[in-house]
Amino acid sequence: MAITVEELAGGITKVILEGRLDIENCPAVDSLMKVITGRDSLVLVDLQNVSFLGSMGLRALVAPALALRGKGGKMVLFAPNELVARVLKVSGIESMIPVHHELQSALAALQ
Amino acid sequence: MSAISQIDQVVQQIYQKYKNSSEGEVATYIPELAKANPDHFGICLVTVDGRVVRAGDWDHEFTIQSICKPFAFQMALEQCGRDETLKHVGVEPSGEAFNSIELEPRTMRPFNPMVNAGAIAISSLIKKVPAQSGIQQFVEQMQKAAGRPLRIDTEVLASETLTGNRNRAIAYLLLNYGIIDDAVDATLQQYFSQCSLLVNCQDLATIAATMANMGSNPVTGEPVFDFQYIKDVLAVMFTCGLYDHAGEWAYRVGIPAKSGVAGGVLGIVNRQMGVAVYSPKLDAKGNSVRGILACNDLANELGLHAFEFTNVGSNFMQSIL
Repeated sequence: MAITVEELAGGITKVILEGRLDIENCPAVDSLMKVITGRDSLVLVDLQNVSFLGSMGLRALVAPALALRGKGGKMVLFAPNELVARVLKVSGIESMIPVHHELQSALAALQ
Repeated sequence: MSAISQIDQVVQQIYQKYKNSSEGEVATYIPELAKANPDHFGICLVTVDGRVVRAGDWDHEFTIQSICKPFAFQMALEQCGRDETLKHVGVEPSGEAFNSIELEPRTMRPFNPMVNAGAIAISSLIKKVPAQSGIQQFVEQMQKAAGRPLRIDTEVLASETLTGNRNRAIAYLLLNYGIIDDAVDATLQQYFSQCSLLVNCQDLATIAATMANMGSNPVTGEPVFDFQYIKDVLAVMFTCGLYDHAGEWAYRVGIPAKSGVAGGVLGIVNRQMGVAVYSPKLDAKGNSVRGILACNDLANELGLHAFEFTNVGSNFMQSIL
């Protein structure tokens, strides 16, 4: 799984995840998100190229979202594919971490 | 990528991860079981809409052993009803090993139908006269659930019958307390025959999926088990299915399951799917090492645990509020 971090205007950190967010790849995502949530407050997670989101992967998204909320920050999810969007919906996580399909609205939600 | 190929990928990944694991020992207490190939490792999932995912030695046959117990319990509930069945066996986890001779202090019932004593009490309830017809009835119901003809391994049956003195002792103890009737040989013949049923991973996963699918085989569509007792069976599997590992299992994997000493592990995700793993190397508690590891990973990846945060619980309640 490829992970890229970009700093955007307005103090927003963009985390681009690519590949399968599964048991094997979760530890890498977990440790990176720990660093980011410790350092930053506004995080956009780009899921465009995530092909699979399992239960452990979902945990790797919920944990940083809660950590950010706890310190007054915010995390949004951007552009999940149909399968990943369904996982977010069925698990009820989309009501907890906002999911946006347009970059502008995702960025606006973090302002 | 469709959902089934995603599951396929998850299963293949888990298979590859544990394929070369060498931990555990093949069971030897029934001499025939010692002949199993320790390298065999198979996984199968069957969903309630009839989709099948398989990996490794999924078609290798082995004897069902204790995995017969929940289905014999289901049949006893169907044939005798809840009240009568529960006069002969309890539903309390004993935390004891599979061959424990402990009984409930006051009622003298075996603690639950998943330990040998409880399963022998259940076999007494579903045996018939002549003995062969009760065995046949069990085999027929299991093959309807598996969706293909099944047979008993006569060599394992002979081996179990010859060496099953501890089970014979348990049966006589149960006779002494009036838990079973005096047709002890017929009861044991029923019990040993049930345990000697030959299945493969796909059979077990389909049988599990039949339970998950309100009792109807999801591949053939045929009704097999009475849906009103499935909750009873799943509850007992959840709390007692892995003997003295049951608490650990409920804690880590969190689905109703049953293991057998031949190396099978069967799990039921109610209304979703059946899972089966076969790997004959066992841990000290008599459970398949790779069976437990694979189920643990499956539960983690697919969010199967009953109390997993991804699991939103009863949709039904939301619908009536």
